[in-house]
Amino acid sequence: MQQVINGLMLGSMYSLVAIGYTLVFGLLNLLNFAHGDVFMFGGFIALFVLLSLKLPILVAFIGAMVGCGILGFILELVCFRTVKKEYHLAPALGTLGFSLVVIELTTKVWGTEPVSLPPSVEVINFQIGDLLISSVQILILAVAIVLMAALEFLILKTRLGRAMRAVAEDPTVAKLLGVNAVRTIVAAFVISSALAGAAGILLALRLGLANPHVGFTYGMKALAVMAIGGLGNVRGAMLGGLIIGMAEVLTVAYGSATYSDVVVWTGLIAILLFKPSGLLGTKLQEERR
Amino acid sequence: MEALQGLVPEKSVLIFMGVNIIMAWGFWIMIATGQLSLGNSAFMAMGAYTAGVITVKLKLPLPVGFLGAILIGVVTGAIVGWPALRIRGIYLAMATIGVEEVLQIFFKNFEYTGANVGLNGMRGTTVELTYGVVFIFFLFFLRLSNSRLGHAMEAVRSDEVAASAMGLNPTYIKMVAFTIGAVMSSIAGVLYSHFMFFIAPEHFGIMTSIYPVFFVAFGSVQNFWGAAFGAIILTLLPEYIRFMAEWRIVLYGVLIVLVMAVRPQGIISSSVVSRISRFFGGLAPSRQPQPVAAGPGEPGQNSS
Repeated sequence: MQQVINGLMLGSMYSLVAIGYTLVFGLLNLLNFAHGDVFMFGGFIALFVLLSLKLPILVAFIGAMVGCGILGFILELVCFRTVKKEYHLAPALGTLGFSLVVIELTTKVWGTEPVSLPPSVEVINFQIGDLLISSVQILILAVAIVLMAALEFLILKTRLGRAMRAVAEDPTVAKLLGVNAVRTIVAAFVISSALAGAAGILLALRLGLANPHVGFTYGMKALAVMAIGGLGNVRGAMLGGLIIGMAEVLTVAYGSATYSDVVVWTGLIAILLFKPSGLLGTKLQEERR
Repeated sequence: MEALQGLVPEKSVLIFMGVNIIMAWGFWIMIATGQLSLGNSAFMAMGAYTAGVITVKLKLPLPVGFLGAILIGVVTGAIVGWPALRIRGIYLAMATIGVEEVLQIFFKNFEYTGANVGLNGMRGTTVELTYGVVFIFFLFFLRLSNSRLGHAMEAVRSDEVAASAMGLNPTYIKMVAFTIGAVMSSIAGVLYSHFMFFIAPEHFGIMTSIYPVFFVAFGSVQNFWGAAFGAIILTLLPEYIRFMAEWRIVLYGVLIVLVMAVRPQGIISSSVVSRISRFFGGLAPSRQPQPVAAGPGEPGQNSS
């Protein structure tokens, strides 16, 4: 049961990052390689706010989400809007270049080693039966759930969400029907980056440090999560995150820690081979292959 | 693999450049049939470790190491390439990342090759050997670009359905291209490891797969000249602009973003190549008289 809680926590973080990948992929059919590093950057914004400005954790959250949102805006501008549409690979490669710049600049400022976060949340451990839950864990779960619910609401109930779904289904028709495609795409980038920023600060809280290399480790795994859940499918990303988080924690607990990543990646390969549309993939994603 | 470059003078730069050219070509031949692989460092690692085991543990000469690497390149290329044919585009990219990650974990835990610590004792790569191999591949590509297989690859990339309607077998062609790419990466691994003296699993991480992508994207995906051009420029550029050495990765990133935004087809696109060859009149690639065995089995004999 303790492991289930840990798995949920890890999983919800993967979900948040994977949702970001999936929002952009669903809309543009573009793999945003810089997303993992936007996520990493969120942790460092939190570090900056907490350590240098000595402001409370709530400000750090808002700062990370806003900062990463801005980063997402820049990313869309330089890597997507300016690139000609007939070269499918070009924007993806551009985001790879962008991610290198983000990592390098981060390590230039904060160094290549992980930096410890100052204690910002009072850690209280709750004992429920055999379970030990810390306030940090509760915070992570709560934030993840609130953000996912908000996103679900945004996609299903608001005007912007409808526009996103329309653009995802057929950009040309959506434009003909009066949807402002450019604005919708920018919104998707900003939202996905803000979510990544939130996930970044959650991870920093969980580990107690900001690490410039999480973009490659956690970010890549979130990519696998997206594929497992179903490319471009937001609920798939949520489900995939939970499954991977659970699988990873359970392998560590009952198997061997060295092979927990193997589970994730072989799962990805198996899904790609046997059900390329992912667990919750729909017809739409199937056609895109 | 890039880290040591700034420390040592000319010779190492030349060797790294050769290795980078081969890696870029290995990636290019896959992308030339529409297959985006982000796991070529896995093949490179297989080649490097196989040859390392052959020369260091079994104490056999380097040519045997090359043969072993070619063999393992064919085998791993086929093993990864065959099921990977079911998937394409961005899905293939993710599957190959998966392969690379799994192999990385394997080598980190495989005691025989030193696990995390790595394997050392490999030597024998010289500038001559490296460029001998590069030259063989160069002849191979020259020949390929005017051969049946080359045209078939071009057809498969531009329209797979049309290609198969014309009687080509896209599955076979993609498989061949993928395997050749794997073998090239594997050979690049041998050259790399036998120059570096020491290899560890982290040398073959995802970044090692991504550099060739940059080389090709920078040069051009449309032809093998572009891949080589990208590898040469991006290897030499940080060497000649010394003050940039510290910022080389930022420079790479900015360059790629810029090139993708301004010239997404790469610098040396096919129209540039044909313009250049027209300029040189008779020097068009088709005039190359010397046929070379189409199989990638050549480089082993070149070692000294």
